[in-house]
Amino acid sequence: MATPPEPASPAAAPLDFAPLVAAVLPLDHYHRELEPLLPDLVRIVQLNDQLNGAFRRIAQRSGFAEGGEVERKHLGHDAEAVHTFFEYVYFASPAFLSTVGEWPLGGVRG
Amino acid sequence: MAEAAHCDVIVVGTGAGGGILAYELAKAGLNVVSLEQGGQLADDHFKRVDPPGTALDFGIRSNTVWPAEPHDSLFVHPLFEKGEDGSTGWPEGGFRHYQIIQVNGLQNLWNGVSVRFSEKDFADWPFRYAELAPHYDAVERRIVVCGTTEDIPELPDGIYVPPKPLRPADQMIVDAVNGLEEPHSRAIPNRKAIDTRPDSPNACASTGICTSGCPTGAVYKFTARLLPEIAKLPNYELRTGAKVVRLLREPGSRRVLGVEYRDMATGESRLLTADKVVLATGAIESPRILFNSADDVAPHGMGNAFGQLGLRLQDNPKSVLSTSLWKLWGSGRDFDIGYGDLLILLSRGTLPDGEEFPFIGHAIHGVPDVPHYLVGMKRFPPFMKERLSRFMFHSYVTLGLFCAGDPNPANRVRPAGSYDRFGVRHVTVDFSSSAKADRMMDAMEAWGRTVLRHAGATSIYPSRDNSGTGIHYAGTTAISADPARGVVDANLKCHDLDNVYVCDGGVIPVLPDKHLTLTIMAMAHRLAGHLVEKVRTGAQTTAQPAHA
Repeated sequence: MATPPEPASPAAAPLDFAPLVAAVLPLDHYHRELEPLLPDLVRIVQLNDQLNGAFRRIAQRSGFAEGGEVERKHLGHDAEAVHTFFEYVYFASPAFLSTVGEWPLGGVRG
Repeated sequence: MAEAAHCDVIVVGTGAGGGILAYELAKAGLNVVSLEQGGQLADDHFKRVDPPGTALDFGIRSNTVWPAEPHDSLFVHPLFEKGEDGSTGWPEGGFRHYQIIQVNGLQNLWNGVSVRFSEKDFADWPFRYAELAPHYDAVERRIVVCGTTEDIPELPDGIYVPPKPLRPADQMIVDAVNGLEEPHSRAIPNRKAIDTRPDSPNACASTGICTSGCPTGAVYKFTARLLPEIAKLPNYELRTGAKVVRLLREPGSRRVLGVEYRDMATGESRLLTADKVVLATGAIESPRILFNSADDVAPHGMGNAFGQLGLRLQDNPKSVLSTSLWKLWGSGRDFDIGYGDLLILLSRGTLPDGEEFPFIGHAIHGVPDVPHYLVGMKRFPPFMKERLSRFMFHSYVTLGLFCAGDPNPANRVRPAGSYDRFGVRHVTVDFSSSAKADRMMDAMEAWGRTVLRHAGATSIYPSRDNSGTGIHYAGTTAISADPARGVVDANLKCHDLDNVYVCDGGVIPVLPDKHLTLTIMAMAHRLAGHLVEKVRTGAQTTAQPAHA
């Protein structure tokens, strides 16, 4: 069974995830395809326990809140989760699913 | 409608057994109160709030993790209770007890497989298949089960509406199984409680998966099909947010007055009295209530006069194998994907000592909009991953194979040292898989691999488990004519109590390979008839009208 994620610290200072996710995304292979989905990515990073914690740690490592730039080294041990997340979203995205004839979703699949 | 202070029957739980019981008793005119610990999801919960697949937030929820274990993805769902209000508090490690604390219980995410036990499966029961057959008939008509009649003694036929048509992947599996030329190996259309009738308002919408919740009400559950018919009856009440904590004995007797329950919102303790009480909360929670009902007469728990309560907890060990069938590479989809697992597989395995055992399973083929297949592509560079993903998109098949449980008395539910937020004592689960179960999982995996290779498998991704993820819990309040070997009698009445019954998986004494849910529902239908007769013949009459 996958290990439950480290939850975000309840005492963590408020963090504006939108610019943070926008700063991390270019470090990923799928960034061009995912840029149109940035608002969705931000929402999901906030709602998901693992990603919320991962992005907070990236912000801390990079000093993002103080104006630091996010570099690849700042992903640290959260790199696998972040890249796996971005990759997942690409292959679950309308752009990809359209190419295999499975978009739009929902309704009857008969 | 005013809350009842007294009724003919309290039904605790609204899952497989509780739903059928509440419906049959209420329709028969008895005064019935269903007590359900959880709330009630909105009717459109699986359409609007938490739809299947990637329709909302790409299928990502608060507890989704990366990297994911694909075969575990079914068990990472927000509805599964994880410690706060459940039976066990979900301690780290050990048995994984899955519960859903909402009206419908586990049937909120039920896969719907509805198969009958065979004559052999009743060997340890106080009655035979023929006793339950008319109740299987009645339930299948009531809940609507799709399937085909096949005349297989190990899997008795029922009353079915047509299933959805097989897909090319299914036909490959059928051909592979038939190609084994084993008379005991079969691949037939699945039998599921899904309304496939195209003109039905609940018609299956072919999401390709049932275990993420059904957006149309096609998969049977109490709220979708039966509750609407009884919700407004003057003799029926569904009381949600009501956590039953114990039964209360009528002083000096073998009868209970009723139940004490907690209002989940306020924590307030309340009492509801009844002529009869049925516990239908599952093989782990029902023993918990009985253990917590201990009193001076029953210091080790009600229903436990012979020390049998909680013993022989069983679940179905399983082997799961996923692959991509190369014969489907490059294919598109111009067919109905249906409900995902359109096939049941039946066969027998052989243990190293020569003993044979039956197993059952299903072949799952859906639309992988949730890209679990990426786990198998880790070593490929992104450009290859994209090409391969498109090429292989419609080629994935998973076999899930289940064998019988192990009625080991050491595998048990017993009172724990911990308590929930209301101060209600938890139960703890002692459970370990046996060497025999491990060998059965080996044999099932070997058979599955053979079938998949014949069907055109490429790399096979296997997993197995016997730690609670079968979610077919049984054995802990076993039915037996002998009180020294079970908790309930042939009518599901506790041996040491005159008006308390249990109707959930716990009553099944030896869990066969087959899914148990239809049998629980048939037992509920039978019990309802028994209770109606008892009430109508005036064995005990209500003292006052139940409702204002």
